[in-house]
Amino acid sequence: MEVFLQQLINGITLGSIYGLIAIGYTMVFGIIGMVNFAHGDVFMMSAFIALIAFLLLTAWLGVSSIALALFIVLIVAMLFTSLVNWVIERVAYRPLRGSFRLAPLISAIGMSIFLSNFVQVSQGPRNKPIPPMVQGEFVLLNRNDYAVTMSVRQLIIWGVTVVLLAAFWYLVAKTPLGRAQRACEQDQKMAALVGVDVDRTISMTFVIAAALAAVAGTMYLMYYGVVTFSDGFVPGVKAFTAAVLGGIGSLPGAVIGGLLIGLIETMWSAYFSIDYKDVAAFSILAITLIFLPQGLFGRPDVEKV
Amino acid sequence: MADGASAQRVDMARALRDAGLTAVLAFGLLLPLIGFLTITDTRNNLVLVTRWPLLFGLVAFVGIARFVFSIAIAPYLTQRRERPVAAPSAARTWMRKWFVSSPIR
Repeated sequence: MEVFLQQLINGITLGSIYGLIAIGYTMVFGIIGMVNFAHGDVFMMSAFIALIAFLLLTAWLGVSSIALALFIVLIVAMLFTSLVNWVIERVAYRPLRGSFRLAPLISAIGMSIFLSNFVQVSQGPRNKPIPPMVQGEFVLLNRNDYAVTMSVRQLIIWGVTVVLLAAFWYLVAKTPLGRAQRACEQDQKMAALVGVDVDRTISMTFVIAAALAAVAGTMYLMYYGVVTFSDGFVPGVKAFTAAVLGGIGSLPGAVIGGLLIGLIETMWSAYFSIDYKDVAAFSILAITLIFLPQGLFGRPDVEKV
Repeated sequence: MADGASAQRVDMARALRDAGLTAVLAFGLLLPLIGFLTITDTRNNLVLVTRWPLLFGLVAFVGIARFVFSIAIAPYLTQRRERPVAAPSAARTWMRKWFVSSPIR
């Protein structure tokens, strides 16, 4: 029971990170029907930007308050990562919008390889460890010599994820930008005819997706304390799995899918084998695609005649 | 003549403005990962070192490339697009029958 509780806490933490990345996949797919395979690498890049901002603030500028440093790091990472994703959309995807269906997908794979190699060359191939940003933990339960704990880092990840998801839900459901996004998701031509600026809406979607990936990247760095250039691939594909599991195109589905993948991964690690945790996560992708192709919350694709 | 000269001046101003904007954008994009390098020092701590010459060199390169594109390459591409399409040569017509184009979906 204690082990289960501890893994539940760990799984929700990991799932929150996957969920934040999965929203980016699902939003972009919803609006332009393309799987943005570079999104995982945008996440990795944001973790690097957060790392550099953290070192700059603590070692150079002498900011001693960790809460203030973390807040500034989050904002800086969101700003720069949004700029990166905005440029990616303008340079690599927008010119291919009227092209054949595979063209943007190939471009996304190319962009993924480019970003990963750019970070490898510019920052070096080694792991970049930092001292723990936040320390401390609470003991929730102590029974049979096993303490169920929740660290302050996990608490921050939960809190930030909940606040961001609430803000994001408000943005999509209640603001003119959210309305424009929903209109573009349904029918881009019709949305343009009724005065929606489709190009701007798509750009803003990429910016929001990057901002959420940047939050996930900063949380990932804070949680694990290390980042390397190849960290975009596996979390990126797992977040994609989460988006598929939840039903690609569905925003609540992405969050639920992320939490499920996080929980499956940690429970598998605890009760079966940690070596095979990625196998378990990716088996979910295959099983979902075979037995539930529209995912948990996705709508079946109806061909209009 | 005066109109042409004025149009050329406007193009030059626009090319300069585009080059400036592109350079600012490149600066924003490259500042974190090119401007700063994370290295491990002798005490095994991760430290930051700056690479300002590389950063400003790349920003200048991007700005100049955009300026050259605006004043030389873009007008050439526009001119080529507006040129009437010439009829395919006899050799090309003969070759075409051996290569059936198929669309990629």
